[in-house]
Amino acid sequence: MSLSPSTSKMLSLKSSDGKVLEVEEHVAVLCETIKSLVEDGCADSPIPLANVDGATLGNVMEWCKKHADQKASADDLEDWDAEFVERDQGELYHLIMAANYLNIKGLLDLICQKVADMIKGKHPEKIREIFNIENDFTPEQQEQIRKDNSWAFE
Amino acid sequence: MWRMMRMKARNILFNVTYGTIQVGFVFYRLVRVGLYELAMCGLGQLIKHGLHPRLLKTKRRCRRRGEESDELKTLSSSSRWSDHLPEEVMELILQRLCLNDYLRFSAVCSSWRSVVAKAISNKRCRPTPHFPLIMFGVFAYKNLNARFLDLCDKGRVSMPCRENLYGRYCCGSVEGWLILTDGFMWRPEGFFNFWSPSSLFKFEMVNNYFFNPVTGAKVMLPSQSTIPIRRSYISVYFFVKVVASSVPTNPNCVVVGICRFNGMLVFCRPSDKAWTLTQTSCLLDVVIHGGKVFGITSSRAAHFIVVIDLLGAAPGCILKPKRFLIPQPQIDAYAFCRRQGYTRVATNKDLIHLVQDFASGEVLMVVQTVDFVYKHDSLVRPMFQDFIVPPKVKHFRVFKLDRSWPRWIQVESLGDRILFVSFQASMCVSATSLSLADPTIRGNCIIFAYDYICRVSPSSGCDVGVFYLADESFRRLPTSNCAPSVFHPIWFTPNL
Repeated sequence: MSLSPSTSKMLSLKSSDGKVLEVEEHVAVLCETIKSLVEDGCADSPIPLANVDGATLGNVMEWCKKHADQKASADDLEDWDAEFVERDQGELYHLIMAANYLNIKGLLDLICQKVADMIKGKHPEKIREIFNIENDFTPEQQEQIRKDNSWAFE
Repeated sequence: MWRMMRMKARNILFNVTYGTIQVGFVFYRLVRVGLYELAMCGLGQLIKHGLHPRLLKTKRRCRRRGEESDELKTLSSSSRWSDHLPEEVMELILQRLCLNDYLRFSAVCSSWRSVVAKAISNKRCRPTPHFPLIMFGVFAYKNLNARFLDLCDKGRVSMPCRENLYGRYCCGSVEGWLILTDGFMWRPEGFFNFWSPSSLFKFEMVNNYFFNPVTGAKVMLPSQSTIPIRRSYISVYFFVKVVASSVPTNPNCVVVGICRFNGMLVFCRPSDKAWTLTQTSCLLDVVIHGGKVFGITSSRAAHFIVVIDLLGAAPGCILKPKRFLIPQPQIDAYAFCRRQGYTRVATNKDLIHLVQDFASGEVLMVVQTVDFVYKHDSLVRPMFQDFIVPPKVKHFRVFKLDRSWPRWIQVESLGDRILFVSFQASMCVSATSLSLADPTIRGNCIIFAYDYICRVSPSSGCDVGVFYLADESFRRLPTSNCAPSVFHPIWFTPNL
């Protein structure tokens, strides 16, 4: 099967909220999940993606389009990626779930790196604030944790 | 006659009183120790079973509070980051964090904590390699805990130690584990309590063990008291250096130690009952590679590579090494010392370190050239030389071992590698694996940390810095915020 841009046909992807997105096949096959569907020949009707909402799907396809473009240089892509991940934690969460569901290794690595960078060098209290996580430890557990790893919290 | 009898009577009286007092004193001591042990035992039981009504009350309160927070948890909507993220995605994030962040990550919420606990137990994703820290201050007789110096983090002193290591003696490290010697008598409380009856039983008890300062885990080695040599040689400083082939939890781990009094090599596995002797002496340094020990011994004229095969070693036998005479390069490990009254002056003496590069499997020899002046006292032979002018590194040379035909080949460039050298532990690390922020620390350099005892000016005994092989330049690093009198630096990479 040829995947070059000139011969590429359009695929329609249907998000969880019913929106249909038309994407070129050579872009969509960056998602391993869609690629396997295309290879099995089940990609004629709109492909239903039950776990991805419309806005996130748009973002994911934007990333795929940039990375399917063979003219883009590595430096160019790096800058573009850095800008692409400048989002709040809500959007990042949806992107990470979508990247995991659609099995896009490049995007998953990119966002995991971004999340890791957000965690690096921060106090647990600050991390909870950033990711809107509730502290579900009892005061006793909290004290134990603090005592065990006191040096990591300085 | 009368006088003689009176004298005798007085003597007897004195002996009897003195004996009674002595017996009474010992009895008092024994009773005191016994009472103390009993009291501690009883208190321990109390704490364990919570018999005290007040303890019971607090226990109940804790339980109630725990229930409340459980209810709260189910009521409020918890974050999707903590509950809905698949484990494999969490692990992708985790493996990008260094050890400090790894531990902070586990303190965020209970589900993240369980992910970390699982990752640690199945060893799937390790934290990113930590920049080696200098551990200092772990030295017998001194009432100091271990401290860790991070040269990358503006020389910040962090304290990751789970247990107070005061009075221990550190003689090596391997991937996150310290190799320690601990004798009760060499701790300050044992030293000051020399005549207490309990110390009599602990006098010869010297423990050798691995210790992980991050997790607090311990793996015991056979005690150095099992080595069949004269008792007077067994001090807490018995080992100059101890080298382990891998982490002690690895079943194939082997450990070798160089003895201080004659440079003999002894060997054991963590599961052994006693150390095994080898027919060696005057070893300068050793590394373990592929079940074999490579060591260097030196005479005035030439030096030897000593190879010992550990694979066929049965406990109790004495291992015989193979020796290879190596004419090149010339190493002057016994440089001529000029005498000036009570002082000795040495110029261009070579000190040798062996470093193993685990990635390429190479054995590297680092030769540093130093000058120094020390006091020579023929009556009192101190265990450590007291320097008047402590050695300062003038130059480094690096060689790699050609194993097919034992010889050394000079290495002009280390490439991406950084060598970390100290007396008790040396390591070779790839610079790219460390994600370095400081541009002055990069590949193709040697980072060294030495300490020499210099009573005149203790701070001048510390020699810490970077040597760049490319232009053979030095950059000394300040260590003024450390305790200079007992620096005793050892390279150590914290790990789980």
